[in-house]
Amino acid sequence: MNKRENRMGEKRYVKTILFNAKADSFFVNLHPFTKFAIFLFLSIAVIIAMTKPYPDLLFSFFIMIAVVYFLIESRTIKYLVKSYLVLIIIALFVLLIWWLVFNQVGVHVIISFSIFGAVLKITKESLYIGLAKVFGYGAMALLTLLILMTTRDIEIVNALNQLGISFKKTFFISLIFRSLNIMAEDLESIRHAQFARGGKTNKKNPFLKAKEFLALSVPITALMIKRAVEMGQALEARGFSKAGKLSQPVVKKNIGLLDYSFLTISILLLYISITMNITQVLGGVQWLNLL
Amino acid sequence: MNDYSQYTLKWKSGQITTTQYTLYAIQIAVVILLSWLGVVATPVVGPGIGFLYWAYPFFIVFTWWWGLWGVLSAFIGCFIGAGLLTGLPLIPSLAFSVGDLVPALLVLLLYRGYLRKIGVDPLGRDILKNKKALFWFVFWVMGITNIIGGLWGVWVLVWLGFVPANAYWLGSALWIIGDAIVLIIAPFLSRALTPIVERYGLISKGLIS
Repeated sequence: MNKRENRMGEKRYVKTILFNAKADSFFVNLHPFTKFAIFLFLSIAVIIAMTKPYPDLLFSFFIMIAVVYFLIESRTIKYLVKSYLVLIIIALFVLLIWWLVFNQVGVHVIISFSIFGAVLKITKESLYIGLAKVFGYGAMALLTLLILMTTRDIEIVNALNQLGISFKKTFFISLIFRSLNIMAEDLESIRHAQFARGGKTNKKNPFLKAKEFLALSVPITALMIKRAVEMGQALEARGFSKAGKLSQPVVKKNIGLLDYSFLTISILLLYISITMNITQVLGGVQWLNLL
Repeated sequence: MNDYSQYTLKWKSGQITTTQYTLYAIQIAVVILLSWLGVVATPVVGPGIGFLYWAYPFFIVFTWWWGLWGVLSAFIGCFIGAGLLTGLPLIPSLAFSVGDLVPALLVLLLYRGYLRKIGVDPLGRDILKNKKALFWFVFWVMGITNIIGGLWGVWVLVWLGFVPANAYWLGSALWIIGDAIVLIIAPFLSRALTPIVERYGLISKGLIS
């Protein structure tokens, strides 16, 4: 028995836009339309929570915890930790620094210091706002990655097909997704070839970096044109220009009870975000005094 | 001597061949990939702002070559590559991708509309040897359109609450300077590869074919 299959010979993991996900997890089995709607509603809900005069930190935190649960459930958390955790932490750290430095509000000073003659103070209020932004941005970043790591490119193509979009348009979109991996591999091969010839220099100067990138940009563009010509000829040899419609979808999904449940919850969360501030309801203003 | 009058703002100039069809899809994939690299493999100088956005010179050259398909790659590349694939949410990604779409569109309109009439190559091959072409590249591509894109992109981030309003000008400046640096690649790329793309008959003479 293959490690990636269960006893029935069914796949335990499926290839998604980013990495792999557990085949029977909740998010993998949602219809792409549902995922898109959840993505939209929750993004709006978190942006509303973040941009309130008194940002709703707890709402964003709750969304973040829920997303982390689904990342664990779909077994995609390991990929996130390996490939994105450092990036996300740096982005969140930069976000916090910007909010602390450029948002000089509040009267309850925690620390005050001088840089180049300018006095910067970190107050309880500015720290709270900075943290609320960090949780909001973090929740949305993780949600985006959850959606990408649990959605297959073929599902998007099939969903577009279900919408009645023409064969040539859906095939064009599937070509974009399929070419992503091919071009990523080509880029890596060119880089390795250049490293082997002593091309790696790790220059810090941005102008020198740009010059270094020029050496990479010409071969990648030339290779892209070569791939397109080869692919075009292969498609034409299979009668592409005469093709009328797309063959039957390999994976066909219908919107079911699971989809309706997730949709209802996300609409409810959007409503909560619009109508109330959970942090204030739970006495969040007083928490500032504990800092 | 090149005949610049064949590159116009006409919607269509012949049928799209199967090779062109695959090429347009692959160039979008390349811009997505480079946009993603531009954010994850370069220093992050602000929330959502990578300093060296490698995709920029590519979609400018693709816009010179393939008209609106290059503009589309600018938008989709930023939306998916610099937005969704780096964890940026749907709405911010969509909104700030307009900051790449508008510059690409303005570049297309000026090069195919006005500049070809005054003897500047609409495919950007002559930037390194023609002072007039160099001026328009610096003024329009590195300057005006880049500034519009930067001001818009950071304004979206401020509007959505990712960047504090007080940091607007610093964020915009970093965005614009970073893009201007990587744009240096564009004339070299065009000079090296335009003859090959032309030889294959893959240049769009109209906006979409």
